[in-house]
Amino acid sequence: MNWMFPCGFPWPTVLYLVLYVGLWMLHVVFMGYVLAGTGFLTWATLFPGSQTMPRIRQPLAIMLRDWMPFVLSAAITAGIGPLLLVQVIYPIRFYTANLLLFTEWMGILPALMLGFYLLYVFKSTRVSAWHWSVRGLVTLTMWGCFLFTGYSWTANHVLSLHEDAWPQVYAVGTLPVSQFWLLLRFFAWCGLAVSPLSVIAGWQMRYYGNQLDKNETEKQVQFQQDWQRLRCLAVGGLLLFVVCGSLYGIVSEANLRSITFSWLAGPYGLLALVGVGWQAWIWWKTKEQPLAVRSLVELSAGGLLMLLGAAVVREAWRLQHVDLDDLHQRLASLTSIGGWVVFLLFLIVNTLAIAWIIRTVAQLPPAADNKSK
Amino acid sequence: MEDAFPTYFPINDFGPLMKGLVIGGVAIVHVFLAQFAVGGGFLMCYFQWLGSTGREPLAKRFVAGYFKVLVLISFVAGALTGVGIWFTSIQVSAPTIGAMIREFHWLWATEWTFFCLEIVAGYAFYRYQARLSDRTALQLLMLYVAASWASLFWINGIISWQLTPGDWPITGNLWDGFFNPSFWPSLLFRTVVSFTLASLVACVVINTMNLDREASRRLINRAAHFLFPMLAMPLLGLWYLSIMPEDSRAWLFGGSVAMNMFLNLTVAASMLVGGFAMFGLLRKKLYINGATATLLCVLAFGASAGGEFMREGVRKPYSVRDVMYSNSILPAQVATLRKSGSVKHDPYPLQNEWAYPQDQLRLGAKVFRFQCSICHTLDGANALRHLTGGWAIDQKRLNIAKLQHTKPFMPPFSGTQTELEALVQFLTWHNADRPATWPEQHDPLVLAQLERWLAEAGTKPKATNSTP
Repeated sequence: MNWMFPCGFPWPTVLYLVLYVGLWMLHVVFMGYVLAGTGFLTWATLFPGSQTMPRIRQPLAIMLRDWMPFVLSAAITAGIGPLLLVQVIYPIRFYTANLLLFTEWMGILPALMLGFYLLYVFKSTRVSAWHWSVRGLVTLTMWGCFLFTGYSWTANHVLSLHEDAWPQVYAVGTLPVSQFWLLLRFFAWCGLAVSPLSVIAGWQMRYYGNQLDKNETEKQVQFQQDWQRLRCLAVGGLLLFVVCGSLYGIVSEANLRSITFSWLAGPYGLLALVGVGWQAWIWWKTKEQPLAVRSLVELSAGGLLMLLGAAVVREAWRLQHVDLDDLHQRLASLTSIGGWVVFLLFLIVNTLAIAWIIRTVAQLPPAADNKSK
Repeated sequence: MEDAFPTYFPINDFGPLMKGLVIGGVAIVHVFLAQFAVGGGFLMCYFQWLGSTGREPLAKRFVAGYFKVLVLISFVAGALTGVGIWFTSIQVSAPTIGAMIREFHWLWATEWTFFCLEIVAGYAFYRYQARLSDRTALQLLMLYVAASWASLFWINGIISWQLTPGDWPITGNLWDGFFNPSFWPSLLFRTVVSFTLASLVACVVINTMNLDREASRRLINRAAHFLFPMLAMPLLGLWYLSIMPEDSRAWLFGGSVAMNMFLNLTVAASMLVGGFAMFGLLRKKLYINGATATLLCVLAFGASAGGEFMREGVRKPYSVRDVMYSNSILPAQVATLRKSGSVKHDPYPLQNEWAYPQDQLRLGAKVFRFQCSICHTLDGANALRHLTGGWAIDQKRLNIAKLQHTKPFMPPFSGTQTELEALVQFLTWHNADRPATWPEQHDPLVLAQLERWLAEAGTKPKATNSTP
């Protein structure tokens, strides 16, 4: 592992790993929006604030509530790609972790379904008339569903790495790592999840903010307040990611820690830090001109670097546990199986079709009720 | 897939639930919803066209209501039960789903690109339909239809491969496996089913639209046009049956009571729906209320359930025909495991080792877990207590040693005579309500007899003429 990821690996390994990491990042973008977004909605519901208009009826919350079901659908759909590839690259590890976690793992299906339907319930106009405590219960439940799903994924991933402990886990049913260690890792990912939310919500607020009438001063004030909330949330997320990520590294085994500073992952770890710093700097300095395109582009770039860095470091840690010769051999044997040309062809065709749809709906005239948003 | 030894996974106990029932249950719900989503797209295209050409003034209102149902039910529950099938398949047989993914991962990834398109097109239509021109709305719906049907196309090739892998076991060619003998009849049959489901759900939705009876009747008659293809169902069904392996067909026509029952259930439910559709809705152009429409949907669900259970069941003794037995053991591994033992290399201990009075029973429990527990429980559904409870101990020895001859839909026993005796002792001990003490049985004469019976049974399955 004397090369920077993915250099130095045979091309089949490069192909599968790069595709996996890329698709996983796409999934995390949507997943982050949902996890952090429902967290924000829960906070806004439970703590309505002392202003005339409760936080949940202010622009950011309305926008998140409106988009959340679609983004969850996108998160699940985007999650299928990496879910498929992880079964190709690490089948035994993934399957074994699934089986060992059993009910805790299978529980994510009803949890996601419940969370999904609650998003629609929460979006309905009828719910806004309910007592805040009931609405709070709804948001807490849906956030809980997504937190549980994220935690199960974390446990699954960690368990898949501890091959030596599998028989013992099967016999006694307890995880091979401490809950504290697991929670540190989970909170680090929760912190990272805030980044996609804040960046995408930033773009969305710019879009909706531009449609505001200049005479709507109350709305303008609400947008400004929401922007400040988003800034706090974003910086808080970055802080959580750095603190929990660092602590996680410190309490981890030395050989795992060393991989973070190796040639394989080190440059990406640096990229992640650059991404964190860049985002923090932009959030800090844009308090006066919140919706500038340049700032949003820079935030997006910073977020992407952070995500890419974190994704590769995560993968490098996993590769440290894997018999690389066996991995290379197995993935090389898959090259004799056909079908990749068909995949590539339809990936291009369907991506173009999706781009056409997005372009078509983006060009539609604004809806009559957009101004109220 | 030619490893001499199987890969051992930790096997979970589903209690009284037979694992096949669990995967079957999830699969039925998913298939029903997914096929409804496919047919629903076609139906909405038709209504969108009716609306935009002025042929049906209520068409667009119907499309809006129908799409809401589709998004709320199919996009949410449908998508998640799809992931659920994966997760449940891993719980039931990780080697089977692993083999499917290994061989078809690029095609599965291709299907995923269509699924992405389906979701984006669907949500774009759902969110922006009020602002779309007729032309753009129809274009979006057509993209949705193309993507959802293509999704069916790709998945159909992969799951039909399990029953009829065609020349794939010999050539190893991906396309031989994908365009296998049951590909086309299965695809066409499923397409007709999806039209039927879409039409029946439409009848329910129309009844929720607060229309007067005449307007409802008119819309219902329009939606019923999608029931016409049901006329092809008997032919497609016969085509599917005709290409099915002979022994699988035999299970349906009496070889297996359960399979025969599922066949009858499917045919009866389909005939009821088809008969009502042809004579009531298409010929007489009757109005049907919400309760009747719902009842027809329930019947269609029953038919789908029967069909899916048949599809799962007729593969026995395989999970992938000629390639992998239903207990995840490869045919080529049986001879090796007969010599070396099937659980000797299993690293996973029993979860309650203390509950067994002696080592032979522990060995028997491990053999049960590895070779039997995928399809059988001890006391619940398809329980060995019920299946073997009436057998004398020598009968158990003979029947299990010659398992593929005892019941041709069973795979051959894949272990040593010592393991077989341990399994027999374990079942006998369990059927005797697990007494606290149980003597170990290592009679050399018994073991020699078991060895002879195993040799007579051979390592090949009884059910197929093909050479695995």
